[in-house]
Amino acid sequence: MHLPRGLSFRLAASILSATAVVFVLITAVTYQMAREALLNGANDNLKNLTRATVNRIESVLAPVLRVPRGVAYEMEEGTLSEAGMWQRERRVLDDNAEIYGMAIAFEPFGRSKSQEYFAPYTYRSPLGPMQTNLGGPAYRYQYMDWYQIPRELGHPIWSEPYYDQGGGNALMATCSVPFYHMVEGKRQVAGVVTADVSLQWLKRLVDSVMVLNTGYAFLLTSTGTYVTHPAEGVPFNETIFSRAEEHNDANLRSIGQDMIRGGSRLVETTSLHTGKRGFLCYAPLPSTGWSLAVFAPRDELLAEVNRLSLVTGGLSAGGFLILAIIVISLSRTIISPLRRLAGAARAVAEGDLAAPLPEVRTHDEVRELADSFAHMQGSLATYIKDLTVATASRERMESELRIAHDIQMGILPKLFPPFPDCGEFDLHATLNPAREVGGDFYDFFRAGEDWFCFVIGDVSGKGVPAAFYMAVAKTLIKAVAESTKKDLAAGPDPGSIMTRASNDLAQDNESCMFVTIFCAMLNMRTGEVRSACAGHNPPLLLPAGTGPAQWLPVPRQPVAGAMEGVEYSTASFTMAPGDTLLLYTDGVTEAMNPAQELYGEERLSHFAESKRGFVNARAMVEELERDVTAFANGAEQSDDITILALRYLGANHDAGNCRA
Amino acid sequence: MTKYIGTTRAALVAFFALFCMYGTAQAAELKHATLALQWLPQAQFAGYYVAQAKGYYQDVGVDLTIRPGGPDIVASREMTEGRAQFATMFLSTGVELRAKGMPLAHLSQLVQHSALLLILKATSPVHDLKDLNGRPVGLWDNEFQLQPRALFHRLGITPRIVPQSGSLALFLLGGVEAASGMWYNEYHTLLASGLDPKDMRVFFYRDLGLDFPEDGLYTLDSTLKADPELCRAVVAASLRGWQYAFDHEEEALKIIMDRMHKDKVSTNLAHQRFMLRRMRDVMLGDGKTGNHTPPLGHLDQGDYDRVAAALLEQKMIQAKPAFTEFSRGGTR
Repeated sequence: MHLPRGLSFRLAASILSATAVVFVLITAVTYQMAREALLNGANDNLKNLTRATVNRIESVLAPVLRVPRGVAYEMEEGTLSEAGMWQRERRVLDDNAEIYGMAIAFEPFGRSKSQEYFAPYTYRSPLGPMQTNLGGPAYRYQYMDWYQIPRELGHPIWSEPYYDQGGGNALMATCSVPFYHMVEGKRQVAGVVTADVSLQWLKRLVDSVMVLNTGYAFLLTSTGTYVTHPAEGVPFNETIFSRAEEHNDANLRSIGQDMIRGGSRLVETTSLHTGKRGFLCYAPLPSTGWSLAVFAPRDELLAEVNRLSLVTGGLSAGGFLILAIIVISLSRTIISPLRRLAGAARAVAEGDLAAPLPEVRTHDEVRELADSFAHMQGSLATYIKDLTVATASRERMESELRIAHDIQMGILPKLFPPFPDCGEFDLHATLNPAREVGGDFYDFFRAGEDWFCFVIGDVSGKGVPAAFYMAVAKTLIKAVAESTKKDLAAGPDPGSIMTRASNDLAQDNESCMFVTIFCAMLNMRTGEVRSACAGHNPPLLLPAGTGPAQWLPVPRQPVAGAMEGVEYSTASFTMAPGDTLLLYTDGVTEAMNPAQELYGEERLSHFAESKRGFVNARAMVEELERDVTAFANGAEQSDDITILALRYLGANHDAGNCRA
Repeated sequence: MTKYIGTTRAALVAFFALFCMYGTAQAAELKHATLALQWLPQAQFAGYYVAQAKGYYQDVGVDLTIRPGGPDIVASREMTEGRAQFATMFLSTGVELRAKGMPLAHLSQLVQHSALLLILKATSPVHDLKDLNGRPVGLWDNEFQLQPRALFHRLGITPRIVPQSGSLALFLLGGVEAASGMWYNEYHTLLASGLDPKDMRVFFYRDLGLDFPEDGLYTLDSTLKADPELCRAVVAASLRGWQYAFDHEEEALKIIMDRMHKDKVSTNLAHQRFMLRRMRDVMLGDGKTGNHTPPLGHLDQGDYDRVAAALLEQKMIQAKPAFTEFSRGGTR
């Protein structure tokens, strides 16, 4: 099941991962662009907010200065009496709600040589306007900033904001305007008019500047002191520089320096108050020299973008999910029949030819595959059915052939030594059919008192017909030999046996088969051998002494059974004790090795000579078999191999005498 | 269980009662005394506040009240008017008052080097102090004028003296060419107002041959005569407080900051830290001035003679008090 899952997985994975990359890219690009746009817009908003706040503060502070300035002009005109001054101050407070108190302070001994301090002061109290004369040994106002600074600088000045302890602990700032008089033609400072302005509204205004959730505004004096700040304990205690020092923040220090110099900028920085990164926009309050700053945290500015990105991301993710479901179900639809086909194929492969095939409703390649597969399944079923029948019949045939083989082997004499009581000769023979049954045969039997008959033959063709023919030929030769042995006083005559047998075989031989035969009779007493040869390979005689092995000179006569009326002659020679006669069929000499070389007569003759001192016939036969097999070296045996070895031992051999 | 709680409570009550009795008994033995300072609470007086917070005065049998000074509170007057038995003041103030007849007794010299500065802006056209002639220079009153006047006298110049307020606004706004400042205070205020060190041209009086010791601990002859043990105890505990403050900066700063918050004095930690470190420099020497730093608490007669000579020269005193009459505490 690995392959089908892999295919659908790969299909879905490649489509979905490509889609995911596209979605992520879209989301990222959208985020970037939206962030740029939003930050630009947010920065504009921040600048506008700062400017608007500055304008609102200025709209109150700038006109305040006109009031003490007007009084200063009046003082320079010198028209106001002391009572007039008190009255003037009272009027100012009545008409200007934002002014908390006003003083007209004269230079020490400036108003009168007898009075060091003259400074009528009117201020608001919970009980209504109160009036007092400032100055005294404990309040030497000429050294106070509100007096000294405009006096020294010669122009109006706003003091640093302060918390007035007497004035209800309200945040105040004093606006001071010097006034002059002429002394001996020289313009000299005569005093300073001040207006105390409550800045509670300013504090409320700055504190109320809300930027998103944690953004805030703060106000700095011209020395960098915080007037308002959201952090507890910072206003009036810290300056922006002491805070920068305590937090080791060089950036904040340079921002502060720009602020108190009247700079107006938007910078990206980290808030010491909230620890957040963000944008700080600051602008000066021109009339006072103070500076207003608004901080907007970056993450909250970007919250909108993040929300947008979240929506985009969510939509992408949703789309991706839907796509994933479609892709996966589609790939399942395609893959599922394939998977079931694969299952069916496995069932078929395991032998279940009736395995049900998946039904494919679509008209596509999968349908074609299923149809082809169904066709293959049908063909396979038919083929297997035929094969089963064929196999059954072949098995029956093979079984019959095995039986035939057994029968064929059964008709060959297999008892060696054939006559244990006959010590005159030693004989061994073997037959290896190329197929189950073969056309070779050998035979031996006693033919009368002194004679021993041995035959080797090779039927033309192979297989069952040859086997039948061989059985007939072998039986015939033995029958002929048996029937003639008593008739011949002069001894057996293999030529006539062969003549009769050949004639019998040739009769009604419609298949035109034939057989080569070498038939010989051995006189066990004398060693005389009478032989007839019907087209068979000449046997090899290995003399007992040192002479070379020699092919027996047999008359070249036709094969037996091919035609009627063939006469076979008998040749005769005498074997000396120790001589060995080796009979074989052409399966030996024509055995082939993989290089298509023949075993050949020469090799056989060498083999025989190399076995000159062999012990017995059995060993000779078996070794020749092995030699041929070794030569064939695995090449298929194409012809039956039959070997018969006979060693004449002589009539007086120790082993015994079968006639005795 | 109930019985157990009852027993515990009884034991606690008994212990508390004993503790109160012990406390009362000890309190009865403590000598009450008040120390008047020149100025509002700040790290300039860290040693006294630390000694008080750590109980060093109690350890020597003194229940000390610290009375901070201010614009309208003069430490020496607090003493002569009986509101305090001890006071801190500049050496020059002490000599001047003694010469003018106040029965002051110098007990211990804490600040050995002058922290007074003359500060100009780096943009000022005045490069040589002689160029200050005729230009407005912000000077504080009283003791803070001795060194500037001696300097101007020596240089032969007559700047226009502008009384300097508690703030440096006039200087920052360009109303004066030069301003006075204490190294441990106004110098940092300027730094904390956005001026960088490179924006300022600073002259240390200590480097202009006018290294006059400053804060010292004083009492009246009568107090010293009546209870020399008390005087020794206050000096010893104060020195111990200073040493602790220098060794435990953060703890000392916390004590100072708490006290300043309690007294509603505006400040910030950075400023007080700077001040405490500079106090250490002017009390123990910072190695940057070539001037000799006597041991903490010890008044060097050479210093005394130079201050008295300057006062005489400026005609701020008519006669120099004898050193032995003036310096009564030694280093004990």
